[in-house]
Amino acid sequence: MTRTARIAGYIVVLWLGATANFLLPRLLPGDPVDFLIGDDAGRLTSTQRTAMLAQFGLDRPLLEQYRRYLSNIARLDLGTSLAHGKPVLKVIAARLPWTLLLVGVSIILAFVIGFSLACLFHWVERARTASALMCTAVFSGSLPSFWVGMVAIAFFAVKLRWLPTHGAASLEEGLTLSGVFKHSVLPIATLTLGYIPAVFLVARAALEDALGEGYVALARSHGATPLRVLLRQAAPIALRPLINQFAMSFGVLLGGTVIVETVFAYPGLGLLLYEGILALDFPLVQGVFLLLVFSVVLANIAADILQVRLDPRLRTELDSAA
Amino acid sequence: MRSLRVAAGTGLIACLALQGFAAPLRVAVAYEVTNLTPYTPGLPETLLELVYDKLAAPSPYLGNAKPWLATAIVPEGNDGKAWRIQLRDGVHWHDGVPFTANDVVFTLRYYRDGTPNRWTHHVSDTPKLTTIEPIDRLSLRIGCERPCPMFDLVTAADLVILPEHLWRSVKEPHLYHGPLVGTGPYRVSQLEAGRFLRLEANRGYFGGTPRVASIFISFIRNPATAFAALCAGELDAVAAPVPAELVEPLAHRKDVAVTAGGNSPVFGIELRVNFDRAPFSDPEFRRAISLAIRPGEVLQRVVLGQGVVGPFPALTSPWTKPGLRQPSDDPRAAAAIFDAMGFRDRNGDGLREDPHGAPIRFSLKVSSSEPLHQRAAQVVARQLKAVGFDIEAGVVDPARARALYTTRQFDLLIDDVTPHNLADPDQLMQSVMYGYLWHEGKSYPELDALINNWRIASTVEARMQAGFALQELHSKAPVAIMLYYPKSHYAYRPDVYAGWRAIPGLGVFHKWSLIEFRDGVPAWAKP
Repeated sequence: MTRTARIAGYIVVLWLGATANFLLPRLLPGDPVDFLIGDDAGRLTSTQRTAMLAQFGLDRPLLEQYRRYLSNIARLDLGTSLAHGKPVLKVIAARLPWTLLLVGVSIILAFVIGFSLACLFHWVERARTASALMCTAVFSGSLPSFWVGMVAIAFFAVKLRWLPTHGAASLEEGLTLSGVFKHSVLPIATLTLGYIPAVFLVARAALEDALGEGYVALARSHGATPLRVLLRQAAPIALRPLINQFAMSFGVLLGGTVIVETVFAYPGLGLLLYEGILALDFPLVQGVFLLLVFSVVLANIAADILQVRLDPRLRTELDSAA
Repeated sequence: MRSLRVAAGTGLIACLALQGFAAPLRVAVAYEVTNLTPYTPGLPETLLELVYDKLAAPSPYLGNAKPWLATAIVPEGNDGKAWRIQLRDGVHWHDGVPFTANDVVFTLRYYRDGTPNRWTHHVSDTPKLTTIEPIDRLSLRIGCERPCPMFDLVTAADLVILPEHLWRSVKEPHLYHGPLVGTGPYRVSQLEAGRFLRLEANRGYFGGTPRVASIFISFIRNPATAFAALCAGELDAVAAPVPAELVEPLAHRKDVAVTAGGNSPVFGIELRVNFDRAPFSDPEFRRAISLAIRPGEVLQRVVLGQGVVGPFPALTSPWTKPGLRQPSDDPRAAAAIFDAMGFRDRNGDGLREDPHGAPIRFSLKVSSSEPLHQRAAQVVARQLKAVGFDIEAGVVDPARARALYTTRQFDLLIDDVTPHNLADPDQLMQSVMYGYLWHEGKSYPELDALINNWRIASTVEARMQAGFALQELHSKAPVAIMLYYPKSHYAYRPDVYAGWRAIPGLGVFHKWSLIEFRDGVPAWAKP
């Protein structure tokens, strides 16, 4: 595929994502006025209802809303949140750093731990240990993060009182580095634990492929120890599929923060999205989803570029296609 | 000289009271506080009233409202349509501007003529105020389109008053982000949406001395996390009721106290019947459905018996007809009605078919965010199956559950019902006219006659009797079938603050728990 085709593909994906993002909230029955007024919304006259929708630009025909939506996106104007009464971009900007902290650290930890476990899996020669590793990985991956989070709170926060139960920082002390660190430990641990198995399984398979390559056999025949073969010959090659996994994980983990942030009352995008959905806050939900779509696509673009840089064969393929 | 000593003594007591609770009180609420105005969606009145005041207090629910920002609310004439309101002198907004009649006039007009919020119908519809005029700096006169004999007991206790000097130019109140200024016992010191709200005591509060100098209100949606935080000592109180299964474990802890939120619950769980859909549009069918329900069993199975069963509206409320009964606990009578209506089991599969012989299946929707409702739905589905109906109990996300309800796309639905619906007599009229219990324009001659009686009633007694008649009619063929009124328990750390007062309909987290009354504790605020 040529570079132009790739770029066109990304643009189509972004457009599809943005369009789905516009349509999905509007497919829900009801409208945001029900949230703004509550159970008494039924008494509003149609004029009052229209006037309220007009405040948020939701009184216009669907096509016009869509046109305005796309042109606003181009100008980075995501509208006004119904629940917050503020520009969506401002609301998201206030929450994004918290989620980036959780997701960023969780991804790094999950990759380091998952890849190390995969290396361990191939290094240990006893089948029983390898099976135990595999079983543990699959088991921990199937634990619901809601449950893991609550158990972590019950044990580390309530029983041992080592870590706080909720929030992003201490209310009394404000935003201190140690406070932010302490408050992030349990949510990060919960997110990481849920994502390690995915990394482990991909890395294990990639290592298995790499260990079957001819150059690995050559290294072995030259007397390299199994550990050296694993770390010096197989591991660098096995990292490449993980780059794609890394890009995908960004979206998965951003989505996964909805549950973790709700459990830990962590003021990030996940909790914001959840509250936005409950409130039928179209502009806010659209804004957060749009951010998710763009970040996943951008992460994929970055992964593609990185792949090409790391693997000369892909560069040659692209050049010949061009 | 004597008054100087008294003032100094009062000041000293106030200082000591505040010093006693110098550390901020940490309270969790279960909703996100994105702003703090009457136009902020989903905000409970109890939180709003920490910052703002109403003309009368404490609430419209128990018939005991007394002038609060006002000193007197008296009727003028005999037709129940006009009232004169005298306001307190010396009250100031948090920014130091004096509170006057112009603020009240502005607020009532703003609510009546401007963008609606969930309370504005109390001046724009039931009742509809036609005149709102200032008389002098501290008094005003209002007039209603139809008799409003309960203005002092209900309307005045429903609406918080806004400062005119900050709100007069606000055209889109849902987007208001100006200073959050009220006359209440606490002023907003910091609001970080999604994280916390910090309130500081208004030491010059006219109604009493705030007993806590500073309050941190954090937002925790998940109740299990909130009560874990309480046990871990990170919170001093949780404003939300304790889930039934946590009452015992929390009560056994030495560091946590659990208090019952009054023995007269005005909050309930109901089965909503879609009267817009056949066969639920038939009063006889609704009556039979109600008869088939055994609320006692629901109460026992869902909240371990912690609560009471009763009709709609709450018997606790003085606005509810004494002895009102909801048809229930009689599956045989229900079956007889279904048989008589032609809903019989013709093919012997144990399930009834409609009068034309076609199989019928009803859906029962509950929100995925309400595990107790899901449990209740299972019990209700079984009870209805026992009288021959196939019920599909389905869980949907909260937004969809609400949307299904507002767009009337449901058969049966289980949801909460708040004190505002259960114990506010004016809200009852809103409910029968705007979709909750019935809606205007949908034929129900018997109801129309009663609504008219209610509207022309010009005394409190006549209005109450008209309300009783409406309740009686609803009870014959309910569209809101009450399943139970849970007994609410609240948990807090008594070593930090133990001044919580349970007031029916308001719980414990409200300003009446947080102030030292200047002129003695009113009867309604006594623990």
